[in-house]
Amino acid sequence: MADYHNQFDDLERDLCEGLVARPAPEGFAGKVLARVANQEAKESLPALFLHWRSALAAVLIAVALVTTGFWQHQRRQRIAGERARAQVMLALHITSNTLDSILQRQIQHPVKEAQP
Amino acid sequence: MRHKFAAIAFIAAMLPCAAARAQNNSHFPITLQKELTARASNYTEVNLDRSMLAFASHFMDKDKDAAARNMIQKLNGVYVRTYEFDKPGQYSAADLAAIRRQFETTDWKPMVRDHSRNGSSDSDIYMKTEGGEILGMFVLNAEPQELDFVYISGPINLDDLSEIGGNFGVPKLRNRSDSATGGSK
Repeated sequence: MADYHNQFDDLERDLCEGLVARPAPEGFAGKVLARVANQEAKESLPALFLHWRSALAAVLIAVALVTTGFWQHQRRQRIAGERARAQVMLALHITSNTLDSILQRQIQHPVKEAQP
Repeated sequence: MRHKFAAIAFIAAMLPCAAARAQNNSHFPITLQKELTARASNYTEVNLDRSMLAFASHFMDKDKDAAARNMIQKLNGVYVRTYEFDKPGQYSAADLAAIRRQFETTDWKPMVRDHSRNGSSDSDIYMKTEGGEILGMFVLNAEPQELDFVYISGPINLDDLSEIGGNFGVPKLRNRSDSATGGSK
């Protein structure tokens, strides 16, 4: 029974000692506030970074689309231009050939009727 | 005021018609195309209006195609038709006469008329001249199994044309004096 009382006393003493109000170390509140602020900043940075990354990706996609469209347009224009050039060359070739064959015929058979 | 609006509306309505008519003037004038195409075993049609010629000139080499480039830049249109037939008799003398009649106007002058007696080959070159300047050329070359038409609308320099002749593997066009010399041998 005496042991039980002794233990109880010890516990009471420990409790009293433990519950004594002690002042916080100097700068404790400042450190806590600084840590909270730091943690908030760390949490908000990836969101901001993600936002900018999305914007950059959107801009790059837009630039790629515009460049591809322009390149396709230029390619189509070049193909059409080459085709037009080939047609001009064919037309001039036929013209030249036809005129030449007429002149060749005139060389072989002198001109029968011509007006200057 | 109402009359003024009516006049403006009338002019606005007539402008597209005038533009269309102006464009039609430079179109290929031959009327027998469908019939000839149906009878031909092989045919080539080239239609190049002013805008197409201008577009093509941007893709021509400034040095290599200089002569052709210089020539087509001034033209309103180049229209070419060649028809090849399996056998003779696919077109008649009346067909050719009908085509020639289209150029027997005061604007057009026949420069060359070479008609064989047996009808084996006919050649005509018509020029449209104004103030000493050639503004158009029509060439008809008829052989038993081939018909060729060339219609060039716009100012033509014969020297340019001759220059082009030497550029396509085709012998350079000879002057008329050379032809006469060659023919009289």
